[in-house]
Amino acid sequence: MRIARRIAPLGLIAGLLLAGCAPSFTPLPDPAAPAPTQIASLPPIELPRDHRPHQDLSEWWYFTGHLQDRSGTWYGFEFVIFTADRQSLGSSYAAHLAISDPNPGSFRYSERTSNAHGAASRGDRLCVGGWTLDIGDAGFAIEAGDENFGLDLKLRPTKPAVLHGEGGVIDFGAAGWSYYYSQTRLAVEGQVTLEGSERSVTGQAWYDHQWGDFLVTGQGGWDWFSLQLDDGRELMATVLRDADGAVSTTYGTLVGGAGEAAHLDAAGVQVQVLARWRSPHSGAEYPARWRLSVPSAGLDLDLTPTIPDQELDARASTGMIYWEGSVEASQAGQPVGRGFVELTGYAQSAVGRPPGPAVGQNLCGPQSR
Amino acid sequence: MFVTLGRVVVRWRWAVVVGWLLLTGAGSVFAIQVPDRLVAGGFSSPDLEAAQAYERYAAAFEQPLPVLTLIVHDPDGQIGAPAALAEIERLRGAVLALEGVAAVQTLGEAGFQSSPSGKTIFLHISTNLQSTRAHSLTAPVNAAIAGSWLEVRLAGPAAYYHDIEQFTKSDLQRAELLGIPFLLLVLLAVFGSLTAAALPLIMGAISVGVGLALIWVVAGTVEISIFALNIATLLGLGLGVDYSLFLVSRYRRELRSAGPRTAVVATSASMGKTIAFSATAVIIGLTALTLFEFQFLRSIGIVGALVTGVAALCALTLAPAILAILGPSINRFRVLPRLSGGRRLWARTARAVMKRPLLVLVPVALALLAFVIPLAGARISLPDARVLPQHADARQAFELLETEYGPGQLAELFLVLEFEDGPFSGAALEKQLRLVRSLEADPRVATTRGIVSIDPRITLEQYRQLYANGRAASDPIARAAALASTSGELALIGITPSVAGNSAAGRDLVYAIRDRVAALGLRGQLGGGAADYTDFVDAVYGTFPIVIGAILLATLVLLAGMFHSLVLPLKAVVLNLLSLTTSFGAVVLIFQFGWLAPLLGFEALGYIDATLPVILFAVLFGLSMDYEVFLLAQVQENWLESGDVEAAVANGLQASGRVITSGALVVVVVGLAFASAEVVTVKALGVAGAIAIATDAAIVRSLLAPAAMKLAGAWNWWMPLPAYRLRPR
Repeated sequence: MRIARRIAPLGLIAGLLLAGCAPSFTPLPDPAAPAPTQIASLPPIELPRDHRPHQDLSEWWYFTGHLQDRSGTWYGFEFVIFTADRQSLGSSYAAHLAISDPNPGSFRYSERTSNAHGAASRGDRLCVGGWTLDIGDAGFAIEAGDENFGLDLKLRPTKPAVLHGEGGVIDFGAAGWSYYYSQTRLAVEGQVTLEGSERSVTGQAWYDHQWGDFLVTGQGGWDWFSLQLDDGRELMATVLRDADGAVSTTYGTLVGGAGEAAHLDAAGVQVQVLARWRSPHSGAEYPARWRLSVPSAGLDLDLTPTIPDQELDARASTGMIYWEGSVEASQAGQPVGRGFVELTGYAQSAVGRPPGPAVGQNLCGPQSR
Repeated sequence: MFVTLGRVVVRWRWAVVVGWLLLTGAGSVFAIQVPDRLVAGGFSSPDLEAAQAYERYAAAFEQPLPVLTLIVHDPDGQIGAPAALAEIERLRGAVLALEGVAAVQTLGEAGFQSSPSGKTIFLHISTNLQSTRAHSLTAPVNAAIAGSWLEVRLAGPAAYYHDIEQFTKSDLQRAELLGIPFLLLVLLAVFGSLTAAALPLIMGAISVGVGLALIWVVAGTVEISIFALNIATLLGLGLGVDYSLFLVSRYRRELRSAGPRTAVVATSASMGKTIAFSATAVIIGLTALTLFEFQFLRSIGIVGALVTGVAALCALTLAPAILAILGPSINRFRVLPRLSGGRRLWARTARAVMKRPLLVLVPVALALLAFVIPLAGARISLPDARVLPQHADARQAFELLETEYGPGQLAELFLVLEFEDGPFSGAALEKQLRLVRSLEADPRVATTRGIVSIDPRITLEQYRQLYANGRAASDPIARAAALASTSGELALIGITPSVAGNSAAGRDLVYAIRDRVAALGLRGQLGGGAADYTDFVDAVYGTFPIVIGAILLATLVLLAGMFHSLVLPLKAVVLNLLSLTTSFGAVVLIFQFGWLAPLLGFEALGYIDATLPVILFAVLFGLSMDYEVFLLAQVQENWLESGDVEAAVANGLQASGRVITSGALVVVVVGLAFASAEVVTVKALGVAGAIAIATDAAIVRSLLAPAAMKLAGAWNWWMPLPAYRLRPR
């Protein structure tokens, strides 16, 4: 019948007209928005497996600490690897390295980026622009450096991991969710290179590992404190600010000498800004001294940066300008420990400006993911 | 009129010959430069949504759309290895340094999307050259990337049109080399004498030469497609030879009873009118192509009409002038005995048809109508690089990309959306995200690119936070997406289909996307890949019925004017349509379904080039009409003398059968010479032309036309206006 219909009068013309007619088409589907992740349904953190990379939107491995050379000089260090896993671009990687040297008052930092081809992530080794983090069941190794400074460190946890939030999961609401745990004290040994001179060091570090389907959107910001007290305790505190700069959440964790963790809510941990510092680079004004109190633990700490200028302009890698620096903690005028403070969201107006030149992309070998 | 023309030509025969020689000599200087003036493309029109999408994109976004794609392939290794990436960077630098290259994607911009096999990566190259000249970039880019230790290839529209241009030129040369000796053989077989055989060939060559010179002139002001070269040669040679063949045949007949000059005038009087009407019919068909809004089709119409006009003018002036000079020497240099028995064969055929006209008409018409069956399954589309031979660079690049990435990689679509409150507003982001989720949930879509295509796990709320500062997003990936995919109120969504752009599914996808855009209340234009193909095909086949109608109507009026009848023109048009149906059906069987493909040396495309039925209709309708006019002129001449329809038809067929067959054989030879082409579209044009003309001459004019005329009897010359009515003497 179909053929007969087409052989209708002036079959040729009819055939051609039929060929030219807009055919019926299969419409695009109209899928519902994906259901939000049920936090409670997420599997629990399992270590050492979860030290290794995941494939969520964001993930980072954050190492901060203090190192002392044989002459007794203290250095602060920060080494971070960030990954952003995006279906449209594959994985992209960034790494930041900073060394604070309080004696001459110098702060050196550098950054690297890699794409899925330039980076290597083979489970036990993360390599970004030639900087490496080796993850082992018993500890970590960091090897990173620029022309004039660098680190070559072995890190070994001395306390069990502390899970933050609900069983290690933080719910950011509409902004997403994140797994988050810390190893609050790691013994460190290795070498620090400054101005081409290598020196052996030992010290203590703090390791944060966070991953999940969350984004650092540049809206609002946070003040993050990690303190290692001389009495064997550690204190983590976080102050989240919304887009208007108002404090939205404060929470923390106090870790006892044996590794037992006590979670602190806004009433349990208080942060008071005592001074401010304006960056000559970005023009941003940052808090510069704090009083951090945990009344239930008898802590009333004064935190002072070892160097005022510990600002990192990382727009070329993560798009952020932030302050991350070494601080000294004292109570009643007596030194009681050391720590690191991270301040984000204070340089928003500068973030929109063009970044500096692209950062190095030394290659690590073929992608294996 | 044609008697006067004949007398003038005879009187000024030397002046006419010298004039044509000067014209040919001067014309040849320009004719050889024609290819440099012709352009690629011509498949777009400002009225099409796809074209509007390009226009909006070009006006708002800094980065020009790519014209070439540099494909780098390492069959043995990993394309992401440091050495390979360093080599890709070197190649990128070499290409970027070339004049005419506007930008070459960086590895980062390309998204580092190595193929699933890990062996291939590609970078898009854009140009600041005009789109119709972009193909000229292919040769310098090829030179710049030559010598790489990686396998490097160029794909994309500029590479495709570059190869089309090269192969079209070589196809043309091959067709001429093959066709001309065969033409000479046919003409020798018809005339026996070298002089008589050479004359039509010379007329054909002059028609092509002068026609090309005119094209050179026209191409200075109007864009003329590179494909027009083949049409010009096919028509110039075919018609130039054909018209002269008719003329020489008649002249030799007239010579038997008159002196040379009288014979020339008599020939001009009878054949001049036939040639003028035939050429007008061909020109009507070709001129109708200018009704299309696409320069590709228009330029073929212009070129075809010009060359046909030159061929007719040559036959009406130069050929009679030479005949007047040659006199009886037209029969000199006899190399073959004249074939006898032709007239007897046609007489027997005529008698058989006259005896049982219905028995001939019905089965033959039904047999030809059977070719409608393949037409029912015809699929119309525009060609991709597979119309090129397997050894063509652009085809190899196309197939490599298809193998490594899937069929949609070179047929990317782009959607330019407009938002009054900007693309970053909450409502704009929500609609874009709904659209992108629709697209990405569809199996016909491989990937999308745009500000909300970063990752399917990112929620609307997260996108709102990411783009709270618009293009100044702090997240580098979001910022890069915003910078590449937004401009003022516009947002760009790139869509890589998982289906070929010229496939039915690709066409389906275009309709589906436009439907979804409208359903979401979005305003925008979809362009690129399948949208270009779909809009072109829809626009062409929207206009085609008008073109067909215009050709039919003009032909009916022309024939009615010539034969003072309404029945004869109607019959001629119906029979012509039957010839064309047969030819189209054969084209579908051969080029879509692959019948005879191994013999003709190509791979079946699975579809018919959308331009082919249009060009074939315009060209072949006029060409077929050529023979009909010649036959009817003979029949009418006899009918006016005798008043006996049956005798007139039989005598007309007997008198014209040999000449029609010889003339058709000429076009068939030219068409088959083009069947040797490596570009499938050119090959199809030649094969279809040969089939249509062979069918027309051997079946339609020899069997159907006489049978129909016999059945119509006195109604053949029915004319409602008494003043125009013809009566036998």
